Amino acid sequence: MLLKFSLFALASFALTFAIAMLVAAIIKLISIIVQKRSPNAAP
Amino acid sequence: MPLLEFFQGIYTFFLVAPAVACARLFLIALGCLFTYLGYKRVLEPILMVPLGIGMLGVNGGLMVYEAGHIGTLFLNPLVSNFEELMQILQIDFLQPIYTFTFSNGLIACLIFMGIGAMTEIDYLLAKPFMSFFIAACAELGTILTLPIGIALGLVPNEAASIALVGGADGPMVLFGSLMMAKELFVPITVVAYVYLSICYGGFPFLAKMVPKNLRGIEMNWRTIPKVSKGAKFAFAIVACVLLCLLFPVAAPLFASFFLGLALKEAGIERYVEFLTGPLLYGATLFLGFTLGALLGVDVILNPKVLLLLLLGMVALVLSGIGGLVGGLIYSKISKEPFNPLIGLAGVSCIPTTAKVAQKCAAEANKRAMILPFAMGPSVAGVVTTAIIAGLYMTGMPLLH
Repeated sequence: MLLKFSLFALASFALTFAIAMLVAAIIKLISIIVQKRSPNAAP
Repeated sequence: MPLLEFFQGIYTFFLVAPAVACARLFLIALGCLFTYLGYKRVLEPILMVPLGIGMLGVNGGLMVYEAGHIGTLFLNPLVSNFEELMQILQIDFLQPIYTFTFSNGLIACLIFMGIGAMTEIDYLLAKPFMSFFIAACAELGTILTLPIGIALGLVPNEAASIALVGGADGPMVLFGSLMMAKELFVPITVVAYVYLSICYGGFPFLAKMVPKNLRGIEMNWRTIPKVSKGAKFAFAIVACVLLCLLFPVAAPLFASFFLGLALKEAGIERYVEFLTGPLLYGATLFLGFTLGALLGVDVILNPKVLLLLLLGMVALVLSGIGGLVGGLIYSKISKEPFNPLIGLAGVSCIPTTAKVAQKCAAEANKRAMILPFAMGPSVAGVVTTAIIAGLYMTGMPLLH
């Protein structure tokens, strides 16, 4: 059981990293889109 | 009628086993200590004062009622029978709060709405990859405490709940433990809040692991790009949709947090004032008071409490170390000067850990201003902790 949950914990770490990077990429994309739609808008 | 029976709070000391009576006295003393430390601002006063008073009240106010049973007029968390619950709802004054806001996690969601409405995400959106990289590294304690807890004898659900303390997010620990280990949610949540309160004093010792020359690295906060309100609002919507799709079990928390955030970015001031004022502080008051009222003798006599105290500490320390390692790695790969102490802020606990990082950097170099950079990982830490909580809550039933 310990091995199973250790692997699960490791997989959770990897998944968290992957999802966190996905969210970061989405943020970058949103920033680019918003900047393109209103390049002169004051932040 | 003997005089002692008239004062039942005292009389009940003589009706129970000596160990139980001593545990009651200990909890009353602990309640006094929590209240005093809150008053002195050593622990977080907005939570610890109501929690301490709740402990005093529930452990002092024991009485004898119907057929010699001993109990209080506060609440009964163990009642499951519908008819009995309906009766207790009309008698115990905190039972409605417990039944309608604790059992379903509503109180954690209300606090999350308030936190969302007062969170500044400018720095997270300006430096998203750095923020999320460090926040993910600072989940080391949340990850490692799960197998450590199981190795020390906890069942997986309990180990996962106490592991969430590593995310340094009180409402998340409350919500997670309610979902995964309801019978231990009181000690787990209290352990979490007590440790989070002492983060400010403990984390500077961890920061000393980083060499002084690196702790004093200066960063130019004027180079942080500005973020528009539209981008912040769009982030709240997109992140909410994505995370709810991925983890429906944690969707109430995500929806609450991003609702607060979206209302703030939409500029609806009346709602923001309500969420960050009466709602947040009202919910925190009743959270503290009800948690205190749940800290009865049965909780302290549970042999697992000592283990939870140890594992909570392990989780937070490992997360702090993980954050610092993340900060050191990022300082190696970053093209610009980067102070690795920002890694501490990845252990979310907004904004305490960011302030600790700034304080430690300023001790090494008075001109080091890292607080704006540290706020990004601090906010990202809330999201990564929610992701791990979602993974644990989804994965545990599947693995069983």
